[in-house]
Amino acid sequence: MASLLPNTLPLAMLMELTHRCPLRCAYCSNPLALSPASAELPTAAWKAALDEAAQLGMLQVHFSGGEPMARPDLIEQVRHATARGLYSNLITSGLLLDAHKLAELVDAGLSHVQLSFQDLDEDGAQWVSGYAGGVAKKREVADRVLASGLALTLNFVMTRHNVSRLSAMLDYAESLGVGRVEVANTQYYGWGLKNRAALIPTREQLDEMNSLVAERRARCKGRMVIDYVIPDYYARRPKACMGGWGQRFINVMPDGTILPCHAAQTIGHLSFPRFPESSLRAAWCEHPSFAAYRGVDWMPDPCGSCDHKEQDWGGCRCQALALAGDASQTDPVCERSPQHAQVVALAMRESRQPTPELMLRQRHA
Amino acid sequence: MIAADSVVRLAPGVRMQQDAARGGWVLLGPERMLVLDDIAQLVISRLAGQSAGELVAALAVEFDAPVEVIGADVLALLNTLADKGFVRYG
Ligand SMILES: C[S@@+](CC[C@H](N)C(=O)[O-])C[C@H]1O[C@@H](n2cnc3c(N)ncnc32)[C@H](O)[C@@H]1O
Ligand code: SF4
Ligand code: SF4
Repeated sequence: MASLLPNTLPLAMLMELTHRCPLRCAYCSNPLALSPASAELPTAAWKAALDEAAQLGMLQVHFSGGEPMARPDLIEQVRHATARGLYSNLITSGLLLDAHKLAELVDAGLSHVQLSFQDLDEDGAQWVSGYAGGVAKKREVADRVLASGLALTLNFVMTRHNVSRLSAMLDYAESLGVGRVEVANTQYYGWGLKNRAALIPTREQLDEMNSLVAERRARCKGRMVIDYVIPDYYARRPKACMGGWGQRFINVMPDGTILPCHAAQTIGHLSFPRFPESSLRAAWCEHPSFAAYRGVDWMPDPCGSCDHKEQDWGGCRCQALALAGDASQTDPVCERSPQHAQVVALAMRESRQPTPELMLRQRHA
Repeated sequence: MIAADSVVRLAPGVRMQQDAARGGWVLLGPERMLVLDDIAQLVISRLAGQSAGELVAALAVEFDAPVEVIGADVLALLNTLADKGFVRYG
C-alpha cells in the first residue's frame, strides 16, 4: 500500500452542473457571482467532458453544484460516467431525490451518495438555509438511499449555531449504520466568507467538537469513518488545498469554466479556459492558470524554505488572497505566516460577537 | 479488530479497479483512493465468502510460507483498510 504518487494528470473531476438550488445556505461555498441557467453547458458537452476525463485516466467524478439533481439530464450523465468506467459520486442536498429518481440513479450505476445536512434541528436548518421542513425530508431520503443498497455518506456542515447538535448528529449516523460521516466545518469561501462573522465557531466550541469526534472515532473504529474538517482559521498548519493546485483535481463550473479549485475565480488576475473550447488536457497541461501555483517553484518564503511544502503545498491560494491580500503568499492560517496571529484574533473576535444578520445565498443568478 | 474468524468484505461504495493510466490497481471509495501493491490486490480479490483465517491458510499454502507470518501481515493490512473505511467485517 502507498498513498497515491504525485501524478502529472488529474485523478478526479468535480462537475458543478448547475448553480440552481432549492436551498439558500448562508455557508455555501459557491461563488457570489452564480452562473445563470442559460449559461449552463448542454448535456452533450458534459458527456464529452466525461469522455475526456476517462481518456485522461481520471478515476472519479463528483456530480455537484448547486443542486445537481436540478439538472434533468443527471441520470443520463451518471449512466455515461458508468459506461466510461468512472466512479461516480452524487453530492446532494437530497431535496429532489424522490423514490423514482433514486431507482433511476441505481440503475444508471451511481457509486455513492453524499447527503448534506445543515442541522438536525428544523429551526436551525431553516435559519441557515431558508428552507422549512428540510430535516424531515432528508431523513426520509437517507432511509430510502440505504434501502436501495447505495453507499451513503452523511455530510454535516458545522457553524457555531449547530455545534450543540454534533452529538445527536453522530448518534443519528451511527443509528443508520452508514460507513462514513463528514463533520465539515464551514470553509470560508463564497457565501460562507460573506457570512463568516455569523457562522464561525468559538475556540471553546472547536475544543468541544475535537473531543466529541475523538471519542466517537474510538467507539466506531472499523465501523464508521468520521472525516473531520476543522475551521482552518484555528489550525496551526493549512490544509493541502485540493491536494495541491493543479495536481489532482479538475473542476468544471456550470458554464464550462475549467478551474484548479472551485473558488479559483476569486483570484482576479488569472483567467481560465472553458470547456469545450479548451479540452481538459489543454487546460491542465498548457494553460498558465493551472501552472501558476503548481508544485513549489512559485513559493516565496516562508513556504519556499519550509520542509512541509510538499505536504500542504503552501495551503490555499484563495484563502491567501482573501486574508493576506495576495494569492501567492503563505496561507495565513499557517502559524509561520506573518498574518497568522491576526487571523486567529479575527476568528476569536468574530465568533464572540452577537450574530449579524445572515445573507442567504441567492437561489439562482 | 479483525481476527481470524472475521468475515471481511469491501465497504459499501468501495470498489477495486485497474488504473489504466498509471498501471496497477486502486481501491476507490467515497472521497478516497488507495494505490494497491500486488499483495494488497491479491488479498482484496480473495475476500469474498471466507473468513480472514481461511484466506490466510490458503495463501500460506500457495506461497509456501508460515501461517503466522502471512497471518500477521494480512490482518494488519485488513485492519488498516477497516480503519480507513475501505472494508467492513462481521
Ligand atoms: C456546494 S455543495 C453542492 C451540493 C449540494 N447542493 C449540497 O449542498 O449537498 C457541495 C458540498 O459542499 C458542502 N459545503 C457547501 N459549502 C460549504 C462550505 N462553505 N464549507 C464546507 N462545506 C461546504 C455541502 O454540504 C456539500 O456537501
Ligand atoms: S445553497 Fe446549500 S444546498 Fe445549495 S448548493 Fe449551496 S450548500 Fe448546496
Ligand atoms: S510555511 Fe508554507 S509550506 Fe510551511 S507549513 Fe506553512 S503553509 Fe505549509
